[in-house]
Amino acid sequence: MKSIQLGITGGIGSGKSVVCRILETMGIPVFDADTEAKKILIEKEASFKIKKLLGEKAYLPDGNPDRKYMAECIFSEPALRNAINEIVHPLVRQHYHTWVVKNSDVPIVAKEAAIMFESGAYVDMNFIATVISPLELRKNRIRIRDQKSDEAIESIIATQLPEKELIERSDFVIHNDEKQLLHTQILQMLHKIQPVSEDR
Amino acid sequence: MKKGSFFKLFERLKGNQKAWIFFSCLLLAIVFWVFTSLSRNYETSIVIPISYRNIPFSHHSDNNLPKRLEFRFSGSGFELFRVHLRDAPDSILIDVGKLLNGLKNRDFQTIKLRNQFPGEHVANKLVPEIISFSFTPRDLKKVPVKINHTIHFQQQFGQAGEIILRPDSIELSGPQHLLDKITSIETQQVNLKNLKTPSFGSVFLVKEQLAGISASADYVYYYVPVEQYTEGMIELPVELPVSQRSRITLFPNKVKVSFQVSILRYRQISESDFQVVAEVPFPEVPNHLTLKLKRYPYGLHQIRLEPETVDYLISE
Repeated sequence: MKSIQLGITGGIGSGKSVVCRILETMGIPVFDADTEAKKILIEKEASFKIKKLLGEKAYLPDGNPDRKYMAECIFSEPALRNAINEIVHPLVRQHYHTWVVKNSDVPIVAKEAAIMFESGAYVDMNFIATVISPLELRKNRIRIRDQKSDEAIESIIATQLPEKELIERSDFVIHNDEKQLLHTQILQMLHKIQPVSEDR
Repeated sequence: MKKGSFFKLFERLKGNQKAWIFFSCLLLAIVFWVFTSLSRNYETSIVIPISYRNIPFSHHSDNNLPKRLEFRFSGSGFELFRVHLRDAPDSILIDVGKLLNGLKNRDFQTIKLRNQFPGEHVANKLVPEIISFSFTPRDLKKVPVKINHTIHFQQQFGQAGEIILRPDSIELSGPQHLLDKITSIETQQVNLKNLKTPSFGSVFLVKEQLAGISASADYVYYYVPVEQYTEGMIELPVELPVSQRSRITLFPNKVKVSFQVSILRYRQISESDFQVVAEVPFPEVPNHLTLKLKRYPYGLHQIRLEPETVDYLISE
């Protein structure tokens, strides 16, 4: 049996992780592409190519990536961002495919990715859900969670696809505005994806 | 033993026939001992995690389903040795959807899962022997998060407004009887010392409150706004209850109110924001009248009155 693959995307601070956590509590395994990408950065294959691209400064003496330096490079130079994406994303997709095979006995699996469309990961998905949230609420979340300045937050948001485009390209929209219950929206979505799930 | 010293010992024994006989007999004895030991009967167990599949999305398990399954084997040492050599599965799969087949409650005998452990020698017992499945429709509830904290500021610094939590409320899903008991979710204790700048961090929710319930988060981020304080002082007249004003004269009739306030707020504070009243107990006739601060603006700390009591004179 092949699992239905559900992609969860949305801008920074929109609340993708909360949606994914709720999916997990409903028994749906979730693959976190960002966490996986962080793991991949430490792997030999990726670190060798990234050092070639950004120099030895991209990695700390202990072998861990210098995230601050990398972030500066990525957000200031779009060409570098694309080059790093071309190194990391194929590896993330490879890991994801292995993970999907491992979980082939569950009816639905989910993948959380901030850049689902930009990375090309959307082609693997049967359905895509975008999590949206009012801009001010997103900024508030990021300010507290990542301790970033408003300027930094705005420059990250500017590099991501506009919300309007995400909505147009998605099958479902989940409103994380702290007014509507997420559980209800997620259940409605799951029933549309797999209407027979309750009768199994 | 080092490789070099082993070879040295071997070289020394090479020409020693008695030693060779001794070691050959010793080796033979060990082989016999292993053989007899493995021929006896033993019991062994292997614990494997359980993976539940196809749980109905809109239902919630009423009980904590076991996370591990213990496979107990008995047999000769040879058989059990082979059991341990096999590749045990990463997890034992239970397809809840198929098992319940539309039902919401069922007891399942785990012995039916014994074939998921590969090999000819099958387990004679699985623990737990029975898994009880009981599902009820998920109820939903959103509750506020309350932070438990102890915060100490450096001198001249204090909190500048409410602590911000993100998320400030949590969605819960589970059986109604459990959700009904919960009105808020508390965080673990946050202890902050010597604060003089705003503090950020994350803190886990208290797990025990969430037993049998699914939550949309298990931790929250907090932000404690901090600002510099300054000491302010205002002198104002002491007021008396209207009925006593004509009859009582106070000594002194003015009081100094000192307080700590943020530098930004300091400029906005004026005498009209305060009211200090002398309490006149009736029918008692005390030696002094106690002063009470009846009104003062928001955001003040360490408020002191000087003096705290005043003398008085009653005119007949």
